[in-house]
Amino acid sequence: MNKDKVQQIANLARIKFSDKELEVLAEELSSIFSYIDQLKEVDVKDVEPFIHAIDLKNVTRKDEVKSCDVNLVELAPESKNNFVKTKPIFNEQH
Amino acid sequence: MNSIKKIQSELGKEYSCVDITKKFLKTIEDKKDINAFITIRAEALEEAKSIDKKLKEGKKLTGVMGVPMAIKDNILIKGTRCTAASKILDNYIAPYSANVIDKLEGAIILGKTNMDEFAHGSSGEHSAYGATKNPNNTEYVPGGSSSGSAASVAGDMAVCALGSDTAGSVRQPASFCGVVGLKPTYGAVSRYGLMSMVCSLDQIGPLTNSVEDAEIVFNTIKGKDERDSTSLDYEVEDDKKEFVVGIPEELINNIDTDVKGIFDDSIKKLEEKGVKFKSIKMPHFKYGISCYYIITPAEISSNLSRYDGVKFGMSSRSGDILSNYLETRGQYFGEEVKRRIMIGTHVLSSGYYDAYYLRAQKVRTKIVEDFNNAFEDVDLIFTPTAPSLPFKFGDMMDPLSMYMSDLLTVPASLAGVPAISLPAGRVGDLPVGMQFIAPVLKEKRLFNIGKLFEQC
Repeated sequence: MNKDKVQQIANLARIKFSDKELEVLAEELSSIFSYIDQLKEVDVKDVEPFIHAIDLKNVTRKDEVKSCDVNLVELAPESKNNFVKTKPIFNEQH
Repeated sequence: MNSIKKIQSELGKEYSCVDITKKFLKTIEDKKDINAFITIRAEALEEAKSIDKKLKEGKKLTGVMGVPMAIKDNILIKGTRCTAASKILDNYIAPYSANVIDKLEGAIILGKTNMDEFAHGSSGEHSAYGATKNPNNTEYVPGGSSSGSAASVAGDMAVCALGSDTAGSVRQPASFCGVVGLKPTYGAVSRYGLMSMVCSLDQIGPLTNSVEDAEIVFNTIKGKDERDSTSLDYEVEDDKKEFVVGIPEELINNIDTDVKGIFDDSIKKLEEKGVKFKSIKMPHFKYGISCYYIITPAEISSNLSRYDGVKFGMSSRSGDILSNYLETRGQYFGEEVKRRIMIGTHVLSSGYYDAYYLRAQKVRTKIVEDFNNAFEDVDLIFTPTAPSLPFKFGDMMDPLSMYMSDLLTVPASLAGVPAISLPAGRVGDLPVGMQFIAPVLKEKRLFNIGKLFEQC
């Protein structure tokens, strides 16, 4: 886990780090991953991945509109005409 | 010592609900240096007035009615600020209430308690609003992540509290602060209105002064909620009062000598009460931490993607859409939160999923099999709650060492089984807790053994 790799993960995670932070993270993540690599010792051939502690049935319901007394748009940092306002998503750079 | 039944029996006779609420609010003010609360609720006095009115009308108090409580700041109460101890939610006012809050109707909610940011931590030090201190000795950490909930009960700032437990976040601070902490069966309590951290592990649980109080709070908040599809219909059944208890020997060898001393004493005392102990094998228990620190960051990186500076919470409002994401999350998330998002992003990224997440979920199946095998032989499993005593602030700076403090609480979380931490003794002024683990939906068994343990 080097600085470039950490920067690549940070791009995916949408987090900005300083150079210093990237260096520290490279060290910390290396030691964490070398510890969790102990899972390779476990024989998991023919083992099903865990899903849930208790058998649950799939829960379905009708897709119906229900009234809601809360205006969630008001919680947005910026809004206009009861819409959440955001920066342009489609432009030449992206 | 405060208890739910004592307070309720004295309300309207010895004092009014407004009186007792004022008394608790004053204690919170007097113990400000503990830093157990992020937000105090002015509405508490109004809620107390309505209880006094009910009492005058001759109504009987049931459940937790009239009882001053504290709620972890990742559980939503409509109209009350809810930060999860993160700067990214510094301005967030909850637009609705969690299911547990609806169920606690009539309780006096004094305020929202401090915690590790988004419940990521085991010491209470990772709060953007300053660390909570251990009321037993303020040089030591209270444990985490439900640090303020545990400290508020231990410091007589609330009769009881709610926390959330993903890997020990109720049990470990309960142990460090000297109170009772229950992690219910996964699905026993609705997660609706609890900020999602690890959806496959999160459970809300009570922190209380006694097992009786833990049982009262649990019975009040449990049950099916159609807004959480993993919640369960839960009828409490009577359970056994004689026990064969298993001890996973290979794990107990790795714990601190002082903790081991209290563990051995506890076994002796319980044997005198007729409890039988036997050694059991849990060969995959030791992989719990590795498993947990793959599954948890993976789910965290997905769940915390909602904090984007666009929909709600704080925003850096900078540049174009991409730099707004990068700046907002870089600026307002704390160190541990960012570390976990990074681990999770990596283990879920293309080419790594099978090696990490899928393998961890398979090892998780092996841990569950260990539990199933053990519970064929024994009724309960007994361990210390934490492998060490509470530590001093700043003593556990290395993230991996901090993760290891979850060693004994993680397995029950991964398997979805219920577990309780009970005060078992002290080393100097530092409390030490012991943990009982039961099969799924056997909370009643934990309460039965817990009450027996309290008599020891």
